[in-house]
Amino acid sequence: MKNILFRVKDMNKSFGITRANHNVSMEIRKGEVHGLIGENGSGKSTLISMISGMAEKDSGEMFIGDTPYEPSSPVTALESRIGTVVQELGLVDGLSVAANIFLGRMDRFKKLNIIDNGALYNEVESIYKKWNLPRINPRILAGSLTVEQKKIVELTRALSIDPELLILDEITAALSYNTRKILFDIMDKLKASNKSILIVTHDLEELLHLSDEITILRDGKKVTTKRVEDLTESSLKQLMVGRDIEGDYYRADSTDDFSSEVVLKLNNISDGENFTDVTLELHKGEIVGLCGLSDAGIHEVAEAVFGVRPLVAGDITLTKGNRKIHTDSMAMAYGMGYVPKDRDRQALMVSDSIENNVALSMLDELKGPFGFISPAKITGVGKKVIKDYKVVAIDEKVALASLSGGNRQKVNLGRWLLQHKDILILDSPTRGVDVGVKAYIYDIMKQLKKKGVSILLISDELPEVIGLSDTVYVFKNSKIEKKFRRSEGLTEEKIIEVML
Amino acid sequence: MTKRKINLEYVLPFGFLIILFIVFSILNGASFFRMYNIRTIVDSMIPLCIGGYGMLFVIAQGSIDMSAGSNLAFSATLGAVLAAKHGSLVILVICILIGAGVGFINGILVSKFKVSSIMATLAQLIILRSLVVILSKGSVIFVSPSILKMNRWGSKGLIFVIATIVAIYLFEYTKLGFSARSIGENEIVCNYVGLKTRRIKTIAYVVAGAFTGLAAVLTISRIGGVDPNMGQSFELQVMLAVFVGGVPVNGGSKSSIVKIIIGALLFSILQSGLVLSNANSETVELIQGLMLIIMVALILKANKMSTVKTSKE
Amino acid sequence: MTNKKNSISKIEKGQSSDSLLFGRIGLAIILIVPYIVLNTITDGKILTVNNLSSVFTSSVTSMFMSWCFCFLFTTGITDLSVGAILILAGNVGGVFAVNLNLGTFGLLLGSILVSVLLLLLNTVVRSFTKIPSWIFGLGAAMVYEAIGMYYGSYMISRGRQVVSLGNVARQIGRTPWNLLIVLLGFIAAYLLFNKTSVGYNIRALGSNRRVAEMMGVDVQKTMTYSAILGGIFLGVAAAVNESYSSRVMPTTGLTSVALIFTALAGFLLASSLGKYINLTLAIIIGIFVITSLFNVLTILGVPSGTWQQTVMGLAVVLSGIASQRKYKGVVK
Repeated sequence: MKNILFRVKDMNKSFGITRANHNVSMEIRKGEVHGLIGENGSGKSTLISMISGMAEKDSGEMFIGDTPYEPSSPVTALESRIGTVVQELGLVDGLSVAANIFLGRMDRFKKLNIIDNGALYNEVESIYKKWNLPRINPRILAGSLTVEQKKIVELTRALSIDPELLILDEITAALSYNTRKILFDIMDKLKASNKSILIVTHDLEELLHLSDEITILRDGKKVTTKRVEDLTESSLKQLMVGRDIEGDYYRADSTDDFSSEVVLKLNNISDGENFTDVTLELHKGEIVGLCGLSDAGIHEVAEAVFGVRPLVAGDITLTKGNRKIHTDSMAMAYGMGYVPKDRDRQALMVSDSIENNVALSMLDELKGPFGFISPAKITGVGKKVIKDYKVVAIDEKVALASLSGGNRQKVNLGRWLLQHKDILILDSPTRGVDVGVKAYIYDIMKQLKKKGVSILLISDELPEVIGLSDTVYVFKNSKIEKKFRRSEGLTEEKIIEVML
Repeated sequence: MTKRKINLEYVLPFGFLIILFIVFSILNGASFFRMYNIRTIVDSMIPLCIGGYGMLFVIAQGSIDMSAGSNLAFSATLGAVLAAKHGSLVILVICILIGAGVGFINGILVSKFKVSSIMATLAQLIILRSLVVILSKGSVIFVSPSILKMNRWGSKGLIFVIATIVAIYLFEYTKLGFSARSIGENEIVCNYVGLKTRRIKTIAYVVAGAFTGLAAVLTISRIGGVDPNMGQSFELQVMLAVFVGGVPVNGGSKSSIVKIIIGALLFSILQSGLVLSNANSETVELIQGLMLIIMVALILKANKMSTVKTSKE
Repeated sequence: MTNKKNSISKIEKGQSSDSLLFGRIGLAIILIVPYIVLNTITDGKILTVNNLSSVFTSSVTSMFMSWCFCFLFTTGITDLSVGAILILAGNVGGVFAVNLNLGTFGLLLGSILVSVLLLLLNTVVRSFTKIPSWIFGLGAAMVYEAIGMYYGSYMISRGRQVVSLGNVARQIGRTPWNLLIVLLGFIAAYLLFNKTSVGYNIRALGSNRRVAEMMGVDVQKTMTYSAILGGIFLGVAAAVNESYSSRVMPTTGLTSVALIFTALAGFLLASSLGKYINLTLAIIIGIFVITSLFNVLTILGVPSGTWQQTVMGLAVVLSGIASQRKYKGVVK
């Protein structure tokens, strides 16, 4: 056990009825990079939250060397020299960069109870220097930084404690090529001084390249831990998904198979912030995929198309009924279905019933004479979604909070399918659902395509975009960088090369 | 899979009602049950209900209208100034329109300019009250005596029934009501399904203002004129009635008209009971304040328990 | 890649000091010009030492109340019982000063004690019951008003009125002592809010509660500190108010809520100036401007109580609009 720096044993964590972690054990060796991988919802983030003191475990043990480790808060984790860069946390925008780095640990800069800002800034500068990080002015507000700069600040925070164990959760996707190289140098430095790194990334190639050992999770359970020499990309995929993923999971054909009729046209649209000059066409029966790094603007394009984000330039035309929206107008919603990225925050009223959530998306359709909306109709559509889309729930009156992520997503998708919309905007439709539901959703998408429904698919998961789209637009720096057709042969390598 | 739902949020107000009944019958004996007292209770309950119906549209979406009392006085005063000589129907229409107009301004401030509803309507509370003093020059304005007819049981009852039906229809069975409740559940979600939340929020304030205008007419009809102090702390009484009736403070789909009626009844019984027991004004305020905190806390707890229950099933 | 590099180096320089300077100069012009114009209109009645010092004297209470909001409201707590606490605290301070013969020291001691205790009580009950702060504030305001009224009617039943300072402890409400108090208050507020761990934590909670919590800010502890610090400033506000007016009558029917309006409008105005001036300093300016507004109205012959109230309400609304100008989130 001498060369083990950190280990977790039989970790368990449940959210409601979902078992996010089920007896997970893992050992991280000194001076090594340990990779952690699994599909969305496989429990990676839960495990990391417990290690970094952000979530309390239900049961299980953790050890640093041989000493038991019980973090009660992120600060105790830092005090035990475990530094974490979390995937979706962000910074306190209203405070300076330096304050963000030392928040909760500010007392060390006290002089007569007053914080010595000079010392604080100097300390930050010396951390930059020590790790050769790009310098971000410690005095300015975190709110004025770009996504990449924010990530660097989070990394600085994690490095400020001289970590024994550095945890990096999906950090590389947000970093530019240069910064990535700096990060890899830092990782080498840590390894050389016998420290360890736990890294999570969706990029299999990168993971295989960086790690010494990889642990694979699936549905909250550990599948296995293997030395990197014994793994390949395809064997990793197989271990993650648990079965041969090629088969009928995605589309088998490689043809551009859709009608030439344009149903939706974006003409040079910009929102003045996240995307500029986006022009694309969606045809009847076509699946158009949008992909890009996390700040490339693809999710915002989806919002603009549905009409929840105002434009500052360009226009969007819906062929049916010849509806058009120009700048600063939000009138497009009509005639489309939209599954936004963040299911529980943007799409569903989690504490409300299934039927109300379904009805919310079709209030105009439910209206009778004098605008009367009958409760029987609301119950009717609730029941129909449950039945047609195989939602596992007691009845249509229960709160969504009591459903699993996959079942919530079925409600989310089902309420639009029920209305037979011609155009669907699906933003990360399989985020946080299990493999079964994922296959089910892909299946529905393929059927819809056959029926002539047009789909705008936005996703951070390249295999999904590649596996389903007729046309793929790759975004970079808020713009469309390149367009690929299915018939040209889509590969992850080609797309990643354009994205970076 | 049997549905045995004991809804604590309904049980609580009823339990409270029974306790009040027992306490006041012991304290006041027979006088509590006299016809006169029952009439007083119903009399004070009607404007509370009507004010509450309007307020519910605003509270359901998680906002608040603190200006109701001042709006009541303002619509009554401006209505009286504009239509003192006219018949009661003209006054009725004018007051409702003025109330709705004030509601529109509130709605724009909250939805378009994003001023938090409590700040915006608190500011309206002083603005409108000072306008009332300016308009009335600080004295009572009398209107045509025909208005007193509206205070008869028949016409008052009719107005109450119609208002209740309209409120139930609008709140429980239309897009407006459904959207208002959904905004209370999660406004971001409403934006993302394509609802025009700004417009709905504004309309909710307009409806609230219109009901306040109606309450203003009923108040005029009771005293035959307009007193610059009328409606003072009306919004608090309405809010107490709404929250004591079991409407969640943050709104949402558990808001309903029935809860308002129960709450208004409760509040009116409490008030008449306190008057009969010769409680002084500070005691009344103390009890109301404590009741507000305790009932809101209990109903929050009850709602939380019922959600936990469903998720365990 | 060059693109990203550029953006980093641009931000490295920070908000360029030039634009900040211009902003401040512009702001100063916007603030000073109206004074000069109005002064000319009123034949020089505004910019006299006497008039300005009386405006200042009547703003001191609101300034301290606004600093109290700095600590309290920043964490997301809109406590509307502050006005009722101000009245109670002032009266207790008065009793300490007069009946216990403790003078100014007693006035401050009593006021601060009551304010801190009641704000702490509010925090404890709120965190226990999870009631939204504004509605809890309304309930608490009614309870505290009732307590004040009990005291009032008790005194009346004994043929007296609530405590009056007479000529005890009247200095802190007047010039030049109040100048010193404001100076000390400003230094304290500035240091506590900007340069202590507690201040950092309070601001972090106000900016993004979830992230702050994840980064290890102890929410419960920070809320407790914000109540204590807010309570101290509120206590000084109560003492100054009592000292200035000698007798403060208890109110009913939530009229106490109106007491916080100047402070609230000033605070909202200050928040919208926050980009150019530190919030704690902006509060002094904001309150002074708002108090001047009423001073000008009075000099122009507008009677207090009617149109002045209207203007007060409008000031709150406009300050609210100004402070929310760039806000994109959901507002209830």
